[in-house]
Amino acid sequence: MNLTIDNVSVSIGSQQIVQDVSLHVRQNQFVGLIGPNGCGKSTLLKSVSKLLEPKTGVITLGDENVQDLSHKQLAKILGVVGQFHEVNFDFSIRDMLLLGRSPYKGLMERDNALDYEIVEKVLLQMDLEKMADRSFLSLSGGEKQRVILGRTLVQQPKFLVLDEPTNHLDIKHQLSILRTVASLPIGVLAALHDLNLAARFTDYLYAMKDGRIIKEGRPEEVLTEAVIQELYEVECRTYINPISGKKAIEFL
Amino acid sequence: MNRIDKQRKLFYICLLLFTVLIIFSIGIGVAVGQVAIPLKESFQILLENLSGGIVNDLSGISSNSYESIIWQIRFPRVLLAMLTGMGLSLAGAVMQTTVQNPLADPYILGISSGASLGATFAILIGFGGTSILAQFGLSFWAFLGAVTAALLVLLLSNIHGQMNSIKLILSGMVLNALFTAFSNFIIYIANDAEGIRSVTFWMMGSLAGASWSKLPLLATVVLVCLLFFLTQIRILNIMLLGDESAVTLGVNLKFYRKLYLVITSILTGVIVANTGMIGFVGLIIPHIVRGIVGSNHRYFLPLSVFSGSLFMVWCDILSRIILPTVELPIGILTSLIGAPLFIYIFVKKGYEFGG
Repeated sequence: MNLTIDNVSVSIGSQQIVQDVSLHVRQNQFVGLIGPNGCGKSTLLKSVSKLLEPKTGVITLGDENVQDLSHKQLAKILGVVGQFHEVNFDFSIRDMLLLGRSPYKGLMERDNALDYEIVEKVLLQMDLEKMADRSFLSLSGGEKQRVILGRTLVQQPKFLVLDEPTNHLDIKHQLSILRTVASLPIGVLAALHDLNLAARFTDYLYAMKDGRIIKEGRPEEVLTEAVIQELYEVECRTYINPISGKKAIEFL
Repeated sequence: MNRIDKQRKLFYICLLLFTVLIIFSIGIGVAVGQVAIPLKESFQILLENLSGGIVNDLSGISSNSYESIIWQIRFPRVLLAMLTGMGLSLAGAVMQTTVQNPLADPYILGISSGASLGATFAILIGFGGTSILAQFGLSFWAFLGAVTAALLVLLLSNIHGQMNSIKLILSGMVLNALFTAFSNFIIYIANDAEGIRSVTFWMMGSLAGASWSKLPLLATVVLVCLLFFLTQIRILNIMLLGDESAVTLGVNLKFYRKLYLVITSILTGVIVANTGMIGFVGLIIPHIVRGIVGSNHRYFLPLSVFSGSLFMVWCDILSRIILPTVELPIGILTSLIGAPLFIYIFVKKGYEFGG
């Protein structure tokens, strides 16, 4: 499914956070969004997932205007992994994943054999099957993130939005999350912090600063010394990593 | 057998166990008191009356007065205890989920102080004996106070945009303080020793006023609320994940949160109007049940309701027999039992509010 963001501006209170952003993700494409803290990445992603309403502009997912879809309709085609998963109450991992079937359920409808089957499949895919009965609160940050991504996959979305999915994760989990995401046969839009990972996994990048897109293109076109200097106000050198063959960045 | 089947099995076993325990406890509940009536005869009398005389074998009953004690006084009281326990645990469980805070209880929206103010007002100031307003009585004023307080809290927490749990809890605290101050002010200037005594007694909570005429309204409200929330299990579960996750799973919490708060406020208001303040039941029962079956409302909600009614029936039994000549207000007892129990599960290692 394609995502098209067309001239979107978003305000929180009286402050305009996202200004006139246009962006496009094609079917099966992994698109990254980079930029310093507070540049409006999360706000933009929230307007895609209908957590915030854009002041102007149109967001289209497939053929549908996101604003015209109900939350429930949207949840069947769009999966979202947010930044924070603090909960005060506990669920087992399996119960947590089962909640991903909610968009498909009526008021009194219970989970059926198909739902359990989908959950078991995702448990295997996310390497969670051995801990399926453990409680969510007892998990480490990386495991929690895998559970949340798993719950999103249980929704069987046609498009995925990720807000810094590798935050606080160690290298192994960073790689495993991004590998899983990159291997999905759906479009993905992800805000990413780690530029080397962005270079390695994404197909296309948008660089954002002060609520505007200042550069877009293939990772090697966007991740130049000049752009990174402008985005993060740090000096760096870029080179081709001899092992991966991808662009890599060394900060000075 | 995977864990979901196991959990379901445990749930049905608990349900069966509770049903047996509750029937047994009703029997004890009508048998003990100032006049001790043998358990067998108590059950016979209950059966005879419940079946409308079809099972009619009262030949072995030694005293006729037993029947009116059991049927007119004690059975309505046990039913009142059951309904109160059910309603308070239901309200507490839903309130904890709705404000996403495990420390919430049914009175968190200022309902207790609102009801107290209403009751204080009715007892100490009242209205002229002939006016229409005087006809409504104490229960009505307590209910009115409770619901007014809850609505004010909801309004206050909605000012300046979105309502959230913190605003809700703070508004509850502030209005609690305000209403309590009003109550105390009335008590201070009233200078009416008898009135003050009834206010104090009312605030401690009591089931002594139970009668058949009071039950239908309470039973309807409690059962309708229970049925309603049983249809909301999925949304209640999603609510535990927080606002953003809920929206991305297709549920907009804003509407449901307000709806649930209004319904639990009315439920709690009706209970408070009937029994006065009975603390800790709505806080502690959901905690204990969550500790046993986890946070999934499909199991957690029905079991909370069952345990709540069982807990109240036994608190009521104890309140009648713990002191030889007088009855202890049940609110004192629920707190006396509830607080140490709460400290226990709080201190107990590994308790994660629902793991």
